Amino acid sequence: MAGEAFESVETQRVGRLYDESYALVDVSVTFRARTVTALLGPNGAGKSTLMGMLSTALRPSEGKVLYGGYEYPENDPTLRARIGYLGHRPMLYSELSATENLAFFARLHGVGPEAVAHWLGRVGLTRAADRPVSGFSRGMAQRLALARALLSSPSLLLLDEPFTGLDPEGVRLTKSLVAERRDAGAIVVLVTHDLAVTDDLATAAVVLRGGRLAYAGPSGGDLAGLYRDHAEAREKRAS
Amino acid sequence: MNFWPTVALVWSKDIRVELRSKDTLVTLVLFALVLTMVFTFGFASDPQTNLRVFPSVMWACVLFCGTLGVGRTFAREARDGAFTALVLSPAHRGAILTAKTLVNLVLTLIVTALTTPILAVMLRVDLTDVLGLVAGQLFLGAAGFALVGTPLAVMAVNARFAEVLLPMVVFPLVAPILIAGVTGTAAILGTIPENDPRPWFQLMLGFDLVYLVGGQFLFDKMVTE
Repeated sequence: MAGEAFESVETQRVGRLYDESYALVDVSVTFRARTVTALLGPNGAGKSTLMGMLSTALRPSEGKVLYGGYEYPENDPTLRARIGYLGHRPMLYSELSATENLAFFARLHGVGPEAVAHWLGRVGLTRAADRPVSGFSRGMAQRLALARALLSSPSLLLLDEPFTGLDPEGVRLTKSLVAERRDAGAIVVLVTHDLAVTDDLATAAVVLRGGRLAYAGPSGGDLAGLYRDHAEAREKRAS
Repeated sequence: MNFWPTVALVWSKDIRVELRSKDTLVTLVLFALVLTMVFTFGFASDPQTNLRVFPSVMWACVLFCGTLGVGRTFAREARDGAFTALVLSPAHRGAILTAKTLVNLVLTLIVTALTTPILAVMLRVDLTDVLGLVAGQLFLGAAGFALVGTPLAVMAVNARFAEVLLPMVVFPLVAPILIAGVTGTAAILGTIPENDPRPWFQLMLGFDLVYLVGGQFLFDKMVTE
């Protein structure tokens, strides 16, 4: 199992209880390899909770998550080694330079030091390599965070709002790196509110509404339409 | 990556970050100096009284500085989300805990090494002949604080009122270390009838081992919400 790419990641009736209310209820969905899946929904729909479960940071209160058809033991490092996660925050050390940050995470992931310069170049930060991250703009930090997530060539790439703070060039770069990872066989799950930017990247979509699954299937190249039909429509029905 | 190389990697990263920001060390040193002054001016009296209050004052400094230090263990990493990246890496989580514990131990020892001589001078307590024994006790005590406080500091990452919550949990757990420390130091200084400090050393060592095993067992479960 270790080292092989996952063909799928599947949640089976997962739920997550916070205090006395559910953030996610009975969600069963499959994310497939070589596919970018857009995870959509309004604020509070449970997107970050689902991402947290997929990343192993959150434990499901109910149900289970299967990686490549296999339920890994809790806190299995071989599973964590195969997941790349880009969250809301940059998840970097602001006192360290870009090189030091990537070198640290490269060693934790067992990736050779040559990958550090490679990824700094790929995200266009070679000239800023020795500057502390505290002096980076939001966009530069986001690029470096993307490099950190991609450093270990993960089988499952989880991106939570990856386009935040990026200029058009940064958006183009991020999309090309994500597409590259997808073409290499990875499962990519991408949370975004920037639907127009993601339209040509995501071929599948999952829509959550109020912690429940509202839609799972092909995106049809129209994420805004899917969002309107499944997230907003439910909201109107509820009201 | 194996256990000890991971410990070395995380420890050296934390020390490098601390040396650049200096925020925890500066905060701890300033806090320790203020405590030292307050205790000194509050308790300074005749030499016999000074000798009797010295163990309590010294260990009170360890208690407050140790608690302040462990409370900041994950604060910086949590702020930028780097803590999540760290625990989601394939690194052995026991190694992460060990590295963090060693960082806290070093910081507490630095502050203790600064405050204890100042307290001794201000309260006119001569530690020359018992320096090794007192240092040994302080080491075991600081280790106990780090071993208890570091895994529990994970709670402070996401908890509301973490500054209140952490001491409420840590203080009862370190009570055995404190009792053994105060009584053991009093035994070393000869201010109590039972002047053999060895049982207190053994008690501290025993609790340190319990905390070591307990922390390693629980940390893995605590970082997954």
